[in-house]
Amino acid sequence: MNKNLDSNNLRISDLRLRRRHRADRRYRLYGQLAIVFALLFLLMFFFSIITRALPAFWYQRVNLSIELSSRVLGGGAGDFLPREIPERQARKLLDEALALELGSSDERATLRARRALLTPLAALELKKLLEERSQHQGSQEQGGEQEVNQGIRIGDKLLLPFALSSASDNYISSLQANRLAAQEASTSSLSEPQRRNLSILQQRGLIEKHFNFAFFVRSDSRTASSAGIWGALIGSFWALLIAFLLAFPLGLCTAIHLQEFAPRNRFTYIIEVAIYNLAAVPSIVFGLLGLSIFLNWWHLPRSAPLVGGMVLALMTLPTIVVASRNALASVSEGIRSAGLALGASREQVVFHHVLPRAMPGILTGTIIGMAQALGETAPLLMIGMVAFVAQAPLTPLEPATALPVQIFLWADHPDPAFSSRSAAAILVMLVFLIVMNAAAVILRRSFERRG
Amino acid sequence: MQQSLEKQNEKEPPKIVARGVNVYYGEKQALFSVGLEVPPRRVTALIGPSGCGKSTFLRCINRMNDVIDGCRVEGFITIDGMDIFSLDAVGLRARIGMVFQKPNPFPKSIYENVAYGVRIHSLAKTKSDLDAIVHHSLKRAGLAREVSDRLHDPAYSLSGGQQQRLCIARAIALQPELILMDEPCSALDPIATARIENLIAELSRNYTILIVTHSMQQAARVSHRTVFFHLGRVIESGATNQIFTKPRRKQTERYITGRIG
Repeated sequence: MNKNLDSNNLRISDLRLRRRHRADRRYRLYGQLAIVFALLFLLMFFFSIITRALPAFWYQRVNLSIELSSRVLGGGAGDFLPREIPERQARKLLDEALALELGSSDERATLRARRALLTPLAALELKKLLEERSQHQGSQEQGGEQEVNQGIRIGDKLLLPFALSSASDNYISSLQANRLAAQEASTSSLSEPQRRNLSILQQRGLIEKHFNFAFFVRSDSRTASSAGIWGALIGSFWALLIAFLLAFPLGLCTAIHLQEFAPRNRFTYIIEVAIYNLAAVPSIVFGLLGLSIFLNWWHLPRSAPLVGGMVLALMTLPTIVVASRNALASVSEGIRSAGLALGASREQVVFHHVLPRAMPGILTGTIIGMAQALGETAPLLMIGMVAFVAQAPLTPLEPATALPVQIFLWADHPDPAFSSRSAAAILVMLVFLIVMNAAAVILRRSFERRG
Repeated sequence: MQQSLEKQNEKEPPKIVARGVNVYYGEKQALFSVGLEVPPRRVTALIGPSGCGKSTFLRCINRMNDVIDGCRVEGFITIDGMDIFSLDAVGLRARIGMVFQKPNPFPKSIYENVAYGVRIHSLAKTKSDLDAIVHHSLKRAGLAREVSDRLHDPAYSLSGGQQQRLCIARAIALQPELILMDEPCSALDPIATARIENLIAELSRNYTILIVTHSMQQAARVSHRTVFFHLGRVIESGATNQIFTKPRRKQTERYITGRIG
């Protein structure tokens, strides 16, 4: 009977074992499914961002031959250009160049339709370009060199590229991509004669696709074709620099003091809890704090990266303190005792042994905090970094905007060309975040190798 | 031989004298009026079951308990007749070497590990002095031959036993008057243990050594004197021979025969 019981037990445990293995497999499957889902969403996210961003990296431009005729500019053939060219004259030159390609017409409606092919800024750009060239030549004259061929003169013909307006850009792109739906969508924003004009220009091979280099070196603009992220990048750079300079030393000192020197009592416990809670405070609250203290009380300049950086520093401070404390706490107690037993003071133990050992963790935490700050929008809105700023700030005191705020502004813009720019700016920001995180990993590796 | 050593020993004043040492961790009292004397240039073993306060007592001598929050030490401890509580703790620790249970080299090179203490106390004037001290200490610790060609490798590349000998080299680089060892072999294999024990025997010619050990065989092998701790009190102390062969107290006998602990 005893034997019988034993075999029975064995059978039951065998059954249970199989059930446990099944549960094991089931949980592994759940985990794998979760990962697959996460990857799927990530893939969808990247796909949608990239497909939306791509048009912003390319633009259509038309090469027009501009005749610097004396009819428009005055003076005789062979004269140098005047130092100042009124925008009205530049527009007239453009009108004539378009007329040359599309046939002349003086009707007002036709004229307006033709002008709408190019960006509203085309005349201004031409004016600047011509003035620049004539000035260039002028300075050469002062130098005493008579290189006549270098300068442009009345009567010359110049072949210059001009960006198409966003509506025509869209139309051409969709023609090239052969996308019917998009074609129809942009049909509504273009009139019949405009579409005819565009196809004439295209047939003559005057329209070409070009990499939108200006997107990276220009700042915000009213027109999509000349809007770029340079200003936002510089604004973000200043704000992050200031946030780092404030938050890193402050956070590190706080962490070292709390972890290594401060006695464990009720007071330090309260501070500790406060820091942990601070990490969970919504960022817009920090923006409000910045608004009421930095702007309204201290009267620091509004919209400036200085204030933005200060607010972001407040926001990243708890992240840095918590990461640094964890890194310090993970340094083995043996190293501390070893240093103390050799007669090192507590400061020496911390700065010679504990801190170098904790540095990788501290840096990783700091970089993650900085990456968080790079993507933070809400507090910057509160302190006015949401303004339209068409110039990159030279100092942290000038008004500026930041990358995420720029994205927010563009995403909200009625012109659809801005939404692709918004996606492109998101891509740029993602690249920066990836670079920062990679830097965190590389730094940690290099420290670990030295250890 | 043990007898003759004992006699020779009596001529010299004790290196360490402890009287009425009480230690509290917060509310809990860990040591109760501990009093003992440690002879110079001998190995004294502290034995006793876990949690009996032998490590706590060891840490009183170089005032390592000072850095523990909530730890309070009362009583009277002298080294060479000087009250350790009147001395500066940092200066005191520079005169006392300590080796821990787990090898704890710094995450630096082998050379830097030994040189560190010498550097912070500015004991070497020139680079060649420092080199000499490092080499000499490694040689005393029986490590010189094994690491001579890789002094600048990280200390963590050494084996456990080698790391522990490196820690001993690090301690003796400061020319301490006293070396405290807190179960130095408990994390090591028998071969590494044997090497450390040989090293202890050799070092005892010049240094006073106080060793905490769980292994009674080890206490019997390496020590001249043995102190038996139980529940925070010193139960018995005397020549190792006598403790292990003719213990005077019942508790000691029960411990060494394996009935408590």
